[in-house]
Amino acid sequence: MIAFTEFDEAKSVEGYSLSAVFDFAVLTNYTKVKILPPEKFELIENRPLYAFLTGNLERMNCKAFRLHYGPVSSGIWEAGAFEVLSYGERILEVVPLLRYKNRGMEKRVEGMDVEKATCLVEKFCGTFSSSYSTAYCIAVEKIAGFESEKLDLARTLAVELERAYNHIHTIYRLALAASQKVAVSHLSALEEELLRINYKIFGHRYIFGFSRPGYVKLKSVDVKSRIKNVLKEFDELVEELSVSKIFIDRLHGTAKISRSEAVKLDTIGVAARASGLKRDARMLRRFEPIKIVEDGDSLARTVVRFEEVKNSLRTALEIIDSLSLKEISNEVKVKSGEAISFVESPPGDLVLYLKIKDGRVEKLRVRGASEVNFLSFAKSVVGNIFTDYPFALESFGLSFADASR
Amino acid sequence: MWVLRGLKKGVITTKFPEKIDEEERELLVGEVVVKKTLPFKKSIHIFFADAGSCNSCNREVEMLNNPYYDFHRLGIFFTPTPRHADVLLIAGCCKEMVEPIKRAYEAMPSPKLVVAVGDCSEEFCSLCELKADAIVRGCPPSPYKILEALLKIVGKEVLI
Repeated sequence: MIAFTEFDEAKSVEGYSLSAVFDFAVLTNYTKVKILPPEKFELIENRPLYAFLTGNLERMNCKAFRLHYGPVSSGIWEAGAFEVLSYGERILEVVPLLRYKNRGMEKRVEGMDVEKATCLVEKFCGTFSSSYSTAYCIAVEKIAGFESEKLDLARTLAVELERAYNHIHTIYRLALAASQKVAVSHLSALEEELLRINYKIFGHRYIFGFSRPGYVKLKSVDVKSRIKNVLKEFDELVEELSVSKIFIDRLHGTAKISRSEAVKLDTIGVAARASGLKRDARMLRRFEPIKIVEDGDSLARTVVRFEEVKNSLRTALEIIDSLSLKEISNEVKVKSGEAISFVESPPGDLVLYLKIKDGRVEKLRVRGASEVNFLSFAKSVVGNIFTDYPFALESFGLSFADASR
Repeated sequence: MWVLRGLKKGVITTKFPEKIDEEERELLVGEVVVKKTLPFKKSIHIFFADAGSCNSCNREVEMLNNPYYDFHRLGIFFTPTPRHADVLLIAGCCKEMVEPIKRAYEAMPSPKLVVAVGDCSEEFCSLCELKADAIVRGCPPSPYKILEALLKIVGKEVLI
């Protein structure tokens, strides 16, 4: 289908579709075919199949073309674009174009009041909002020299629930790409249920306005049975999906990153854990990495996601047991200084650098996980064919808003 | 077995335009302003274009597909290309996207409407010099409110 775009101006010749004519011509020694005018012979010669059959392999790359996919497209659901180099089916090179989401948020925050800036930091990436606000609040508290166990617990609850719904969304997108319509309905219903649980606990479906420096606000933690239901249902869905041959077959062997490649590309987060690397920002604080798989393909990343959703929900249940307070409020005196904080956001670790001067933000820089992993995706998808593209992209669980703010 | 699982779960779809459960009433976040309606009343096709949002509005629009809202039962469908669309849904605000969105709008056949989703998209419409025919305010607005706007632009009544 993609090959057509290059020969678009030629359209069809005498009622035959162009592709059929070319394949016929190539397979039956094209000089005998009289249906094409002589100036079109050049087009045949440049077909990869012709080059391959005649052994003229140098020609194979000479007609590779660049496809600009996005930013207004139906497939990605986001304002991002890819430049794909290909000669028809196999992908030779991918360049993600991140500039369409560049809103200049980091510049916008500079000079703002430290507490008010949290509102904007959350909206760097709406679906990873609690990771962003947690990283920011930890940085502010680090500068002030303040630490609190209870605040930490409440924020972990938010980050883990966020991880659960984002991972389920990623699996939903993979199932959608494999046309698993029934699984898609079940998974998106689970995601909606988790968003409603978020609303119940934090007062917002995407956990905006929950965390401020030295302060968190919980509406109610009376959701244990609902989370248990989600956990049970997800367990059954995973069993059902793992025996679906169509689903597994599409993921197996797609977009492979070996361990040494992952080290070289500096892959982080879920993708690193699927390639056998023990990289997890939660290790710095209290959790051990959950699941390490060695294969490094889309299936491995999905298996890691399956385990992490279960683990996140179990962790959330444990925390809810130990949380009884509705509101945790502490006085934090904002001091001048600088700090770096790490938080494990759903696709990988998030690094935030903050410099405060006289109660105002002087400098804020963020390195989102997607920014790094887009490079890993671009390298891993080389050599795969176009039909594998969505499975490669969705398995990383990346977000353009996270990569370019 | 998928079939048994579906039967066990039962029907979870809301009866939205007619009535809504008491528990779900608190989910109605946002405000709908409709300035212009389409001249036809049955089914509409939507093209969703992200103009640089923070991703939460995208997710809420995508959520319309799930069995809780199931907007196909109301005759609303997504299309993958602006050439088949009656309505352009815009979310977010980023200067880089002004040109691509303008081109997508020009590619749509008339009669056509622009619906701005989220607080920041109103600003984007003025950047683009597009007139927003309906605005769904909220950060992000709930899927119910997006549905309400889509129903109101084809002249359907929403009793909630």
